[in-house]
This record gives sequence, C-alpha cells and structure tokens, in this order.
Amino acid sequence: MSTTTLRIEYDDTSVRRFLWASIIFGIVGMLVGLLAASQLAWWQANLGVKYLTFSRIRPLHTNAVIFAFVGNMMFAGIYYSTQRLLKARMASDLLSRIHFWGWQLIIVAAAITLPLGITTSKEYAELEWPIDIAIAVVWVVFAVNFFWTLARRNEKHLYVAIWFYISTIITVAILHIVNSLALPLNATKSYSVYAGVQDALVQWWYGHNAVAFFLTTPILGIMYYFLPKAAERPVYSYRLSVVHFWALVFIYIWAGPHHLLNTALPEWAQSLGMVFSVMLWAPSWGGMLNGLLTLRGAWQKLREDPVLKFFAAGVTFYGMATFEGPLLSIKSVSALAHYTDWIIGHVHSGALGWNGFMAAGMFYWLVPRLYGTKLHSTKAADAHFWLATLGIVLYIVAMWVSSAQQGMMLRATNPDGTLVYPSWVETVIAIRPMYMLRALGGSMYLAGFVMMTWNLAKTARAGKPVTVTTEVAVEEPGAPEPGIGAVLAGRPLWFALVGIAAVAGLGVARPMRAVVIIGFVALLGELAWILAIRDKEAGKPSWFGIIERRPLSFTVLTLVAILIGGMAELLPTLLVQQAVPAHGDDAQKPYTALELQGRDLYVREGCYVCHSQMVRSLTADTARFGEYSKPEEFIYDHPFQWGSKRTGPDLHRLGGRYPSLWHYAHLMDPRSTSPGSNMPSYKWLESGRIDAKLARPKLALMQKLGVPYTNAEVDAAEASQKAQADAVVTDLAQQGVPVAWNSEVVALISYLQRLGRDVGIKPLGAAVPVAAATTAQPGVP
Amino acid sequence: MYAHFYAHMRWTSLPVFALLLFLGTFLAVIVRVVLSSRRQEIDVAARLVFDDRETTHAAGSPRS
Repeated sequence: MSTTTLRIEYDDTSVRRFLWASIIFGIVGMLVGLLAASQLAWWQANLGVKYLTFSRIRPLHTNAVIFAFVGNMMFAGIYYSTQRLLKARMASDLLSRIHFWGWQLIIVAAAITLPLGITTSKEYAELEWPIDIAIAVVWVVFAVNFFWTLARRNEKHLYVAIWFYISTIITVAILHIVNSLALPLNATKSYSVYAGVQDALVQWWYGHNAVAFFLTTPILGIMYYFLPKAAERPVYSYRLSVVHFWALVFIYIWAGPHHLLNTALPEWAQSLGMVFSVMLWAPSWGGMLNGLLTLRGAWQKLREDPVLKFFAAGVTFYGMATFEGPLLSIKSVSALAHYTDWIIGHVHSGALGWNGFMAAGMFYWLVPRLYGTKLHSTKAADAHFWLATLGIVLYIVAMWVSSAQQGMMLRATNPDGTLVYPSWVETVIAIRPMYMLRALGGSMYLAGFVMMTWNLAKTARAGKPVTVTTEVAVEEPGAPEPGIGAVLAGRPLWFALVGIAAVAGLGVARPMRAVVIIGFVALLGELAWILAIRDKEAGKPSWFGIIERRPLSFTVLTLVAILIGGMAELLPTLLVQQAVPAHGDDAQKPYTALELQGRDLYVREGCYVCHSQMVRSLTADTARFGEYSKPEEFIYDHPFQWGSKRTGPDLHRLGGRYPSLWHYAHLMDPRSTSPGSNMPSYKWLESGRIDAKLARPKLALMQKLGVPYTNAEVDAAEASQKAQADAVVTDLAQQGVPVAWNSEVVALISYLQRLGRDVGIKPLGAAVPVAAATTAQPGVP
Repeated sequence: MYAHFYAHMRWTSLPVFALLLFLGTFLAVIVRVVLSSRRQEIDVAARLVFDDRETTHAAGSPRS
C-alpha cells in the first residue's frame, strides 16, 4: 500500500468569526437577561417601553443565549475540531461564509421581531415562519458543509466528538422542522398546525431536545476534543464515551413530557417522560465522570491553568444539572417545583455553569492559538472564574430558596382545607428579595464575562491571526472497506433492537411475564458478550470498528435511535381521533373573531411567559384556581398557551371571574387591583387598534386547521367582532371608562373573559365588583 | 398505610423489575468499560485528538 503526503491549510477564519460573534452576542444576551431579571424585582425597570417589557424580552434573552451565544460558540468549536479530527479543510469556504452570515442575520431578525411582539409563543421556537425557513436553510448549508467534509476526510476513524456533532445536526433539523409546522396568515403571523395537548407535546419534545441536542451534545463533543487537549492526556475511557453517546442519544429524546407532568397530557406520556428522564441520570453521569477523570494525574494543573479550571467546573455543573433534571422529573417533585423558580435555577446552572464555562474554557484555549500568542492575563482569567462561580452560586441558591418558599406557601392549607395564602401576590412579595439576589448573581456573571472579553481582545491585539497547516500521510485505497451489508448484519445492532423490543414489552406485561422478559434480556446480553469474545479471538473486526468508519451508516443508525423515542411518544397522540363531541351542548365552542384577535394579542404581549393556562390535577391548584383543566378544552388552541412558569397566577379559569372593568383597570395599572404585583402596565393596549379586516382571514385559516367554523361564520367575522366589542364597550362606558370598540384592550378582555368556560364549569368566585377586587381574593393576579 | 394503599394496585411490581433491569444494564456497562478487550483498537481512537503535526504562520504571509 502506497502513501502520499497532503498539505492541508485549515479554515480558522470561520472559527475566529464564530468565536467573536459568540462573545458579542453573549454580552448582549446576558444584558437582556439582566434587564428581564431586574423587572421581576423592580417592575418599573422596563421604563414604560413596551419593547423592553419582560414578557417580550424574556424570549429575546433565551433566544440570544441559546442560539446566538451557545450557537456561535458551538460552531466555532465544531469548525475548529472537525477539521483537525478529519484532517481536512472544511469542504467549502463559500458554504462556511453563508453559514456564518446567514446565522448572524437570523439573530438580528430575532432581535428585531421579538421585542416587536412578532412571536409564535412556542418557547425557544418563537421566531415566525420566514425566519424559521431561513433557519432551516442555513442549517442545511451547515449540514452539507459538514458531511461534505466528512466525505473528503483524510482520517479513517471518526473520533467520538464527530459522533456528537452528527447527532446534533440531524436531530436539530428534525426537531426544528416538526415543531415549526404552521400555516401563515401573513408575513409576520402564523398558527401552529398542532393544537392543545398535541401542540404541547410536540413543543416540549422540541423544547427539551433543544436543550439536549443544541446545548448538550455539541458541547459534549467539544468536551471530548478540547478537554484532553488542555489536559494533555486522552479521555479517561474511550469505551465509556461510546456507551455515553448511544445511551444519551437514545434516551434523551423520550424525556420531553417531563415538562408537562400533572397536566392534561395523557398519563402514559407523562410516565414515559418521567422514567426516561430518571434513566438519563446514568449516561449523563457517565459522560460527566469521563470528563472529570480525564484530569486524573493532572489536578495540580488546575491551580495555574484557567482553561482547565473552567472545563473542570463546567463538567461539574453538567453533573449537577443532570442530577437535578431527573430529580425534577419525578412527578411528586415536579408538583412543587414546576412553574416556580427552581426550574429557572436548574436551567441557569446548566446554561451559565455548563455552557458558559465550557465556552470560556474553549475561548481561553483557542484565542492564543488562533492569534499565535499567549493569553494576555492569566490573573484576569482567574478573577473571571471566581466572579462567575460566585455569581452562579448566588443565582441558583436564590432560585432554590424562591421556589421552596413560594411552592410551600402555595400549597399551605388550614385545618379546614382552605388556603393559608389565598392571594397570589402574597407569595410574589415574599420572594422579591430572592429576585434581587438573582439579579446580583447575574450581574457578577456578566461582569466576569466582560472581563474575559477584554482579556481575549487584548490577547488578539497582541498577536495576529495565524494560518495553520498540517501534513497528512494519505494511504492509497487498499482492500475495500466492509460494505453496508456488514453494518446491517452486525450482531450488536440486532441484539440492541431485539433487546429494546423486549424491554418495550414490559409496558404491557404482567409481573410473571415481566420476569421472563427480564430473564430473556439478561440472556441476550450474556449471549452478545460470548459472541463478541469469540469474534475477537477469531480475529474478526469489531462491529464498532466497522461502523465508526462509515459516516453514512453511522448517521442512519443515529437517526433510528432518535426516531424510536420520538415516534413512540408523538405518533399515538398525533394520530388519535379527538373523543370530543363536535356538536350539541357538550361541544367545544371555537373562539369568536374578537376572542381570536384578543388571543393573538395575548401571544404578542407574551402573557404566557408569566401566566399558565393549565390547572393541574393537584389540590394546591384546584383550591386556588378552580376545576382542573381537561384535554378537550384546548382542541382549538393553535398554539397552546399552557406556559411554563407562573410569575403570576394561572388564568385558565379566569373567564367570568371578574367584570370587564376589573380587567381594564388591571391591564392599565396592575397595582390598582393587586397591590404589590410586579406585573408591568400594558397601557399601550388602550391606544392600540386591532386590524379589524384580519378577522375573516383568521377564521378562514383556522377553518383550514380543522376548527369547525361555518362559512357563514367566516363571512360574518367582521360584523360579529364589532357586535361583541360593542357589548364590552357599553359595559365599560356605563362605569365611566370610554374606549374605542377596536381598541386592543377590548379584544384582550374578550379573550380573557372566555378562558376556561367551555365545559360548563362555573367560575370559582362570582363576578366581583372592581372595588372589592382590590382586596385579596383567591388567585388575584 | 402504604401497604394498604398499594394492596389494590396490580402493577406495582413492574417498576421494581424495570429498576432491576436498569441496574443490571448499568453494572454490565461498567464491567464492559473496565474490561480491556480490544484495548489497542480503542486506544488508537482515543489518541486521534493528539495527532496534530501542525505548523502555524501569520495569515497571508508566505508559507515555509
């Protein structure tokens, strides 16, 4: 076999671009986060500007840190490590440039549209359909560039980091496309093709796996490349990294429903989500320990090397977050923690600790190498580390305390079963100091990040961008590689598939059959082991050795691994016919044209960011908010509005509880009806006007989505809209509040008055006069 | 109280079986990781990270 030597020049310009974009957008995203956090403690911090209001900028904060900060960081890490691991320059400089500039344009589009209230309201997928299409196109460009590079590689073996990148690319594409399916009304508005429970399940299948495959798997790939480089020793156990990869990819995709525990989601889906979330503990900790043990014998380096400090702490935060996640996925823990600040603390221990620290470690390692110089100040990097660590600790401890305090207050009952704290506002006032502490912790983290930016900028200015070349000895093709048949005939594949099928049988097996199944699986494992040893002794290549050199087969198997969980959870719920009467007295009534307009305003203002529309089947919820929510109540909700955090109370049974005047007063000045509330004023709703002409096309579009409007109702949409608005206007005018019929506040009030009234459930309290409502009432926002 | 509560639930033994299966798999993975079969093949893959032989020069400058 002859060899030729190739000289390869890596494309590190793209790496530098993504790196600086990540740092700049990291500062922007965290600044927006700090502004949002400040508004929870001091509601005036929006300065009365609607574009700066919490409910609009919170999605901007999450999108900025996830897709702009971590996204660009991930691309920098992937572009750098992929070229070196594959011994090949990225296949196309043009595609790399399109990828970079396309991604930045998407981020700018998000920064413009989200404060304007142009949103789908689906968390971490708020961007409207034209931007969604742009995301899909740019992601495909990235994928083509990556897989093209794979095809042109000069290294036979695929290192485990590449596996994590492959799983990221294909899974994010599937998640994004499936969750974003929507019918557009116009350039800035669309409605999800899913409704209610189905929409919730698809959304959280996406939402959780955005965490899994955007914030975790690519960063794990980066960990497996950069941590051994920084520690100057190979990963502790490469075999464990193999198990880590397959177990994580297979199990993660099932865990989404843990975001919907105790809700109207079918019980079986909740149980699946909970069980798989608990199982995630094992592969996550396997990866975490593999990362930490890579530092074996090098712990003393942590004293001097800020890169290793950040990596070690980042991996430790990964371990902590992946311990906390399964814990929160247990239904009884979720009953207390869900909708409270514990989830926010959990997310930030992952985002600030895992993503942020891995990013910092990678930046400190990369910038000196990309500019051919030394780090400007190790002391400043150390100071950054300690400032950021203290900031995270303050942040998450504040959120733990806030959650425990509010959660316990919300569920506290008197001996006679009544609520000890019937007013929601009481609990908000109690946790306000924790909101202040959280803002302080976030400020410290941001200050550390700014120090890093200064340090890296000084480093870059001290050096010059360098070009890196390498020489690779390429073997001429010898004996043909094993074909696809060898992959498909691989025993591990079939053992795994049969094992999974057998374990799935546990779900329908009675105890004795379950014992038999477990025995069968154990025997299967034993047999697999014996055959593997026999093959090794016979000198046969391992299946792993075959598969890891075949990117296409590898990609297909990864796809199968993620599709099994996705389809098992989504398909039954998507295909099931709604057992809900469409006609007669029990039928769900579609929203009227005005209510639909009001619902769109509810989405625009981001009310779901602070208010849920899901009364869980828990005493603490039903005693406070009323009858628990039923799946059939949401069948016309495109998109669903269950929310994920209650800064204010649940609104699902709000309809009819208060007069329209109360809602008007509350929206104009929340403290006039709820003293102590941290909700901002939405005064602009009074002067804003609905586009009355959109009523008809909105109903027509809903008709296409399966909402049973008659043609006559669609044709009369504008007239019926005006008639319903006039009734609200007359009611308000009689109490001294003149408003225009097409004022946005009228539409929103109409929607709020409709909430939760479709199943013949009487509101918890009778309509309360506005004066009386200023005193504490159950569930007062 | 708990025994009484669970007495009428037919499926309570299944989670125990599932847990046993999970622990069994967990232990099998640990043993598999620790055992050193095909170590040479694995070591080659683990060392890919260090297979560099890179040279650097300022961007735009002539290459040596």
